[in-house]
Amino acid sequence: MRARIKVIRMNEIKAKLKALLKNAELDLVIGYGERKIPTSDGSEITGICPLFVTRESGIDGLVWNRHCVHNLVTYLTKKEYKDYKKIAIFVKPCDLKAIYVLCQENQIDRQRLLIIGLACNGMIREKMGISTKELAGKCITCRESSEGAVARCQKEHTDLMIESTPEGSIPSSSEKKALTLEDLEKMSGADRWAFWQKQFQKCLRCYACRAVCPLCYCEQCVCDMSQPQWIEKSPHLKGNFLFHLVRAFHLTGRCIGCGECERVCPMGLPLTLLNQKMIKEVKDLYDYESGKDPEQAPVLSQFRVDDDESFIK
Amino acid sequence: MDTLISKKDLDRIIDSIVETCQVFAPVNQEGIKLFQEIQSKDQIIWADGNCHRSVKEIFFPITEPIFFYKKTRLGVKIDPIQNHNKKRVLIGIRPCDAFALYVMDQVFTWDYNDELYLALRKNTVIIGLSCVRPEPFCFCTATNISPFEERGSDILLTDLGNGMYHSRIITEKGTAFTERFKKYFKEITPEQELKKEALANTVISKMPAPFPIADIKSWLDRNFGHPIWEELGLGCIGCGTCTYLCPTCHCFDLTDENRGYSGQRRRNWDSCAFDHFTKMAAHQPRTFQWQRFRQRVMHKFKYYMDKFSHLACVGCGRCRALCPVGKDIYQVIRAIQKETNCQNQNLKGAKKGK
Amino acid sequence: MNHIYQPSLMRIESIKEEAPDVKTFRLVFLDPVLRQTFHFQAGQFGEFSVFGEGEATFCIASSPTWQGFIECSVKMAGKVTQALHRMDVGEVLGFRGPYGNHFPMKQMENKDLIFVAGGIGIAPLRSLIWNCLGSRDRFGKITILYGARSVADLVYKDELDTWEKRHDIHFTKTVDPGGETEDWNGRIGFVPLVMRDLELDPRNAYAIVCGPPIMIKFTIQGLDAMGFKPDKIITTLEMKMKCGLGKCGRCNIGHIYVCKDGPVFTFADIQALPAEF
Repeated sequence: MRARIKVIRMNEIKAKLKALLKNAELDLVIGYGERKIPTSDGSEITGICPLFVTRESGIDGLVWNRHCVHNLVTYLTKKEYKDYKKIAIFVKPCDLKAIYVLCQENQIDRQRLLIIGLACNGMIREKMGISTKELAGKCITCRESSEGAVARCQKEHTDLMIESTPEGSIPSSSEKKALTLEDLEKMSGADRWAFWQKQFQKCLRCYACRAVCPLCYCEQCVCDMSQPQWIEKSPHLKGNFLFHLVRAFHLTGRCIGCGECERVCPMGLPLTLLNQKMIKEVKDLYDYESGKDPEQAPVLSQFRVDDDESFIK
Repeated sequence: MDTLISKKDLDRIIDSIVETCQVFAPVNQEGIKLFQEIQSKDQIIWADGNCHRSVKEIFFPITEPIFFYKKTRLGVKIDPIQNHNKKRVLIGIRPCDAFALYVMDQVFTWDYNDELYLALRKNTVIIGLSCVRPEPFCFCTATNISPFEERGSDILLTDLGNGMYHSRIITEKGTAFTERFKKYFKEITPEQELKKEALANTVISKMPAPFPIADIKSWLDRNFGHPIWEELGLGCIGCGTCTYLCPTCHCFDLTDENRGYSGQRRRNWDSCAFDHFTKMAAHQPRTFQWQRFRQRVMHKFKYYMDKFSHLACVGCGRCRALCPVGKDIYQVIRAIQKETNCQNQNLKGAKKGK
Repeated sequence: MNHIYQPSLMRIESIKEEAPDVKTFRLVFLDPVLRQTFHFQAGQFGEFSVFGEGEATFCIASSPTWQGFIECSVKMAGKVTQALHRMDVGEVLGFRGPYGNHFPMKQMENKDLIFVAGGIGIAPLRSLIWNCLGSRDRFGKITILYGARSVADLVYKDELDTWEKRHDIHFTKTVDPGGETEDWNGRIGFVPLVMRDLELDPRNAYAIVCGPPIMIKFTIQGLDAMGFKPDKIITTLEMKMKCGLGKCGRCNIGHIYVCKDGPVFTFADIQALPAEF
């Protein structure tokens, strides 16, 4: 299965997947599929959702386009999929990094996966379930993509690849400029505190950010523990602050910036700002970026003799 | 008796009531539309589209203290919370959300009256606004109500265009409110009545057909263990968005929070989508996410009907629109409808048109 | 504002250590009126608060015929039960209840009663047994079979001796193989297996079963094999609970809420439920 990397088109990939399913060399394909959504005026719109295929007949339903914004890697650590022996999964370059971290942390066996790498130059933002013409929030902050650039998966870590980017024009950036990390860092401490208070006031503690994150795979989250109860369960300001800050800390050195947390938040909290800050801290202090290489050791499990110690007073 | 009120007069009423009671209306909070307390009529967003979060949080708060306790040498002292007796008015609530309150009332008065919720209900006048332009994901007509549903509102307004609203009193509270501001509620002509009826018919005629609720329920009664559930629930990540935005989901958690020797017990929203919801020390009855997905669908379309008189789903469409992985309860029910048809066909051997 | 989620205060009058991880708490209402007027039926439960830790669900283990106090027997498991075990006589708890349905005592009159219990599962049955013994002549033959993992794990040890000595009760106690002590004079064997030797007559009888799920499963199988009809086998179900009164949506099995339609069910009721517990 981990033969030479082949860069091929979607229909060839589909044929290959069908053959593998037929020969029982594959149990499950996790990819993107179209869903037809009947709307209130009797028409239909098309959306994309994760598609799980276990039979050849389902393979034709797989698609790859600018609406495939979901990070499918989150399913690899959920117990519903633990029994599948061999899984094929479609990953964009941002998603693939999550697989690297999972490999580093011994959460998945690379041999179990058939990784299909996709080339991406921007996904479309959805608002209330309807596609806009704008770039998805996560794409704006994608480290490897700027206007027009194409992000590609690292060849040596995929099994198959589609090199063509999705059809259609690249979505434009939103007219309304979202707050960046630089903007936040320029604020005074008091202003920043007020900003986050306003944001966390909206949080419902629905835990969508945690549920969708590919790296939040703990069987029992520290925020759900009752003995001892580290974090209050109530969605008041204090509880919400603690939850989000603890989550950001637990993702420090691990978060790959896929932006799913912010995408799924029903209240529009700018959660990626927290994670981006920690990504920046780790880069500045330890010259480390997560998700670059599945062989690298996690940053917090190693040290160098010349590590910065200035914060130890 | 129906009346007519101009937008200007409605604004005058709002200017007046914000002085004397709490007024809640849809406002824009950083791109998200929410029901919030307003200080001025200018904050209200009248444009079409329901609020992100449903109106249930006005009666069933996301989090609230339910009493305070203090541990002393002699034992424990409980301090009750203040009475909820502030007068409130809700404006611009959509019929689906208003009907959802009518649905939730049933569980909150089932044998034990939940005063925390009922006191807030009692003190609130609900001025509903019918939907003349339903959103793409709306399907209230499929759940046997409509964008002009009256149950749940005290007064129902309909925007007739050109700055005029048709106003219908539904309850005694509505009568009292209309009386109080009667100078603004004008007589309506038969033409305008007809205009409202025609508008309602036009809007409703374009919307989805009703679910065959009795058939669906009958299928759900018999098919708890059907393999389709695993298929329908696949992909659900258990994020809680659907339950938290749903206007009828009412599951909650009770938790104590200490500050030294004193503290409070709080009631918080909880969700059957979470795995800790039913997890006990020795046993977890819903191990897999698709089983929790099944629980929500069953609760909405069967269990509630077993105990009370209506579906617990009002077709507001929020869960379909905001599910991060595209799970769609409307499609689930249509899929079950198809199963019902197949089963009926197999049983009767005759073609059943739907 | 007072409301249904606000507990009444109770003081711990006495604590008895029944087993290494089980204690029985005797509780008295602080409010003298409640002390006199509180009334419940065997099988019902309450939500007991340890302020600062939370609430937990326990059945009321004392008999409804005992005035002035109630008892609950608590096995140490999680946050609230561990906090409860650390409490002393004189400390104050909260109580909400009584909630749930109860054992159908009226239907049980003039019938033979067979009580089969395991471990801490005897707690709700103890309430019922003493309630029945309070009007002994209303019931037929009473058989009690009780077992635990070991001798130390048996609860209500004094009362077991009392029942054993009574001539109007057929009493059998047992421990799991390996759980006996040198001076153990009861049976040795798992409860469902020991039950087979008891020659139980299903005609005109009710069987009331409570214990760990695996014990209930095999006991009911055994009763079924002996000819007991499903509507004559009574048991209790346990699900995670919070409000205890049908509002928080947590304890449902299908459309049945264990806190409102239970916790007492017949086996016939259970057979009609979806397999979700």
